[in-house]
Amino acid sequence: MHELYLAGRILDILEASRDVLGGRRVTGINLKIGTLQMVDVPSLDFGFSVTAKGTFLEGAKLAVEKVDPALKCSKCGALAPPVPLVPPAADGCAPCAPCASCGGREGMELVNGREFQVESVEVEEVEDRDKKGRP
Amino acid sequence: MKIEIKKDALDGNDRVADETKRWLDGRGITGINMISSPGSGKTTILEKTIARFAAKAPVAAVVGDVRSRLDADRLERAGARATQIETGGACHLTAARVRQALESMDLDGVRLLLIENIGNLVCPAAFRLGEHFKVAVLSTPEGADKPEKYPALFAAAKVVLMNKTDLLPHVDFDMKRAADGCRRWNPDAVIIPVSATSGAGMEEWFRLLEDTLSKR
Repeated sequence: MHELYLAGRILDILEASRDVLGGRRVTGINLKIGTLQMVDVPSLDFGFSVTAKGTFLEGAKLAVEKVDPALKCSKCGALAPPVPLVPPAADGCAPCAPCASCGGREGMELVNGREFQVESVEVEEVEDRDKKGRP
Repeated sequence: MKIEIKKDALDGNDRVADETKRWLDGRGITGINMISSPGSGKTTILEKTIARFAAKAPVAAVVGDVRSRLDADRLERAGARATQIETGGACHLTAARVRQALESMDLDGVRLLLIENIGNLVCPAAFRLGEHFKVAVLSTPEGADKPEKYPALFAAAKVVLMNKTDLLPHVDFDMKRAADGCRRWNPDAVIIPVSATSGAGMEEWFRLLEDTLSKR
């Protein structure tokens, strides 16, 4: 449901980056989206097509790379996907999973899975346009 | 040809949220963002919370709904300085809307700000509002599988209130499964079973809030 809002922010980001684009036509936008953002890609495509209509981004295609969530061990720094929980340990520790790398129970912090990053854009070479422009 | 951009689309909202958090810090106010599905009992929990805390210092409340100011009226009657945000359709609050509401309020002497988000388990989780922490409410009739089905909220919430425990004899709700589902995404989640109606477990929630306020 928040795909339309996010489509608007893609437009904002690229509007602010227009000098980097140097007036070249944008044909594609590469996004990295964490699966915890719960973004529905067809809805995002639709929202973007409506939002971009009549702007310099009209017709650009979105390419989405999904990023899975990862937890980082605060003891050894190892990254691990969230796993099904183990039963409470004999030492009475709350039912939290130990780090798979070091066995530590110092806590795991969610580090990946919440991003909505505009990674890069695909632009038309200026020469390409010249060639296409000729009869 | 590829041109690198590397900018996060939620940065704009996060920037306003960070500003709001600093703004609240400067006034010694602790902000809480409460999120749940519609009908889980957020407003009743907040009424009881306001009744407990408003005697010590004024409590501010910002309430989001698609339409009506029913909830702001309830929180005002409970003793809060309440502002209603009617989104007219949007399914979540944004940092900018909350900031606008806060700027219109009298926050003199306020120590506690309660933000009641739109009833929705999906979108509100993506938007920080400037709060110090998020509280998720899951009520027993909704079912214990919700943290597994809507992980974004339960990964982001520091506190989970399992509400309507007074209905446990009548509904099929596995408390352990619900708690495990929360901890799968957030091993440090503080999970408190409560009944806002009967008052059971509410003291533990009030103590957590009191501890948070006294440390600031």
